[in-house]
Amino acid sequence: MSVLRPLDKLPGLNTATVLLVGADDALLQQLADSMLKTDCASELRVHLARSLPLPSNVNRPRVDLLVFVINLHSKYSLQSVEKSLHHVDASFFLGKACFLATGAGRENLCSVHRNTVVRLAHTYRSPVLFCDLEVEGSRAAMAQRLARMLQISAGHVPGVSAMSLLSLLRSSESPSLEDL
Amino acid sequence: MESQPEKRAAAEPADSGGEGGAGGLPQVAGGRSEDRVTLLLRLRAQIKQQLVEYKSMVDANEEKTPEQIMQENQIEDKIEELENEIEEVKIAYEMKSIALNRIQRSTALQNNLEKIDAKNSEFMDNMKQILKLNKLIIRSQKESRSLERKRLEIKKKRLDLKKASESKLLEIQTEKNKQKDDLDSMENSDKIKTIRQNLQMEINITTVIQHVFQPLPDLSQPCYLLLGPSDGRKSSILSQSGSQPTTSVPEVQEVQRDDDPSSEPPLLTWSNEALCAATGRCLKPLSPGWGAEHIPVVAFG
Repeated sequence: MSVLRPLDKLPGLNTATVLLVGADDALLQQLADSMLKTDCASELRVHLARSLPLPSNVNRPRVDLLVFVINLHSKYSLQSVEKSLHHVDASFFLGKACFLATGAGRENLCSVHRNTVVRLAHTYRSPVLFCDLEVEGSRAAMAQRLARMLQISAGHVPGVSAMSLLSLLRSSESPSLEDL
Repeated sequence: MESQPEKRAAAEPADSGGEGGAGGLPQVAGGRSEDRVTLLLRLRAQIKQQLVEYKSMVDANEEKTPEQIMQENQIEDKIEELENEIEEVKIAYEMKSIALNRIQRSTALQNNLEKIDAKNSEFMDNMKQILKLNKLIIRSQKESRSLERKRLEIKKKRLDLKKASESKLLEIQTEKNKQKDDLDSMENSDKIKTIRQNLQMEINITTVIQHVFQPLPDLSQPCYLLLGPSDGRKSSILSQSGSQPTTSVPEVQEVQRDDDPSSEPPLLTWSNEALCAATGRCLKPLSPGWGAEHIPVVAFG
């Protein structure tokens, strides 16, 4: 069970699960707490992981949304995320995965350029979101956004599928990527 | 389709009631029946959506994936194509759903129109306003279309004129070039050269003859032979009968004008015989007393 597949398990009733993958534990915990605080009609489950592959002995529900958290202040987080990407099935990138880059506001501390993350997201055809997880307001807004994306990925929003959300999120990014 | 937006709207107010700290399904005992119904409806929508997703995944997996290893840029192109296809399908779906919604709404309105009597006037006003606006839209669209057509026609005419003028100018240019070529060929032909040579010869002959015959009219008038002093002062010739005094003056002037730069007037010695031959009449030979050995004659011609 080394590769994470999106649809290998049946979904739980009214349940949506998000898996946050990132090297920075504190940030992940904060984000998880904010997500659980958001108002959501369905029940949210947040799982945290430092890297993939996940140990296969644990019984866990099917993952609806996969969020890779990259801290722009540390190159190690980028490297661990890149390593984890190999253990993800390709069908995850049809709208059930997204990249979250944090810490872009403070330029002097950034060791990873934001264009690197943008290009990484472009290779995997997934949306990339920017926020500052250490600021309360930004974290709460991002948590709400992720909760909404999670609901759509889990299929709880009728009429909108994960792939249509993907193409919706794509159109604003692509013009800038042509210059990259 | 129409029931789904209702369900979504119903899900929002159910949120605050539906989620406690426990999450999951709300307590059956404490919840109201409406909450249960909305929850069930919401679950139904969820399951429908998830079923659609699974079905689409199954359908997608039935397609044959390309086995061969394609190059990276080929893969990129393929991905772009697929993305474009997705966009097109999405757009088509959106259009169709909009049209379907419109149809459903109009039928619902039709069905309910008789029931709603009190709000009839509002509906009628709305409908009338809608009709007016639609007519306006259609009219302005017609106008814009006719204007567009006119513009196209004018453009076409302009293009035709341009082409015609182009062809005309081309014709003019070719004609000019032809003329130039003809002229050049003419100038270089041998005929012209021989003509030119003949012409030149004729010109030379005529100039020679001119030079020969030019002095003759002056010599036709009898001129007097003057015995001028030997030191060579200027001597003038008086012309004789036949010439008026007025003409004598220019003749004299002519003599002076024709003077050589040297101080001496030009002296021509003519023998008697030559004079006779030139003038055509004999002159009386002079008496020896006159110093015939040196007879300066000033003749002009």
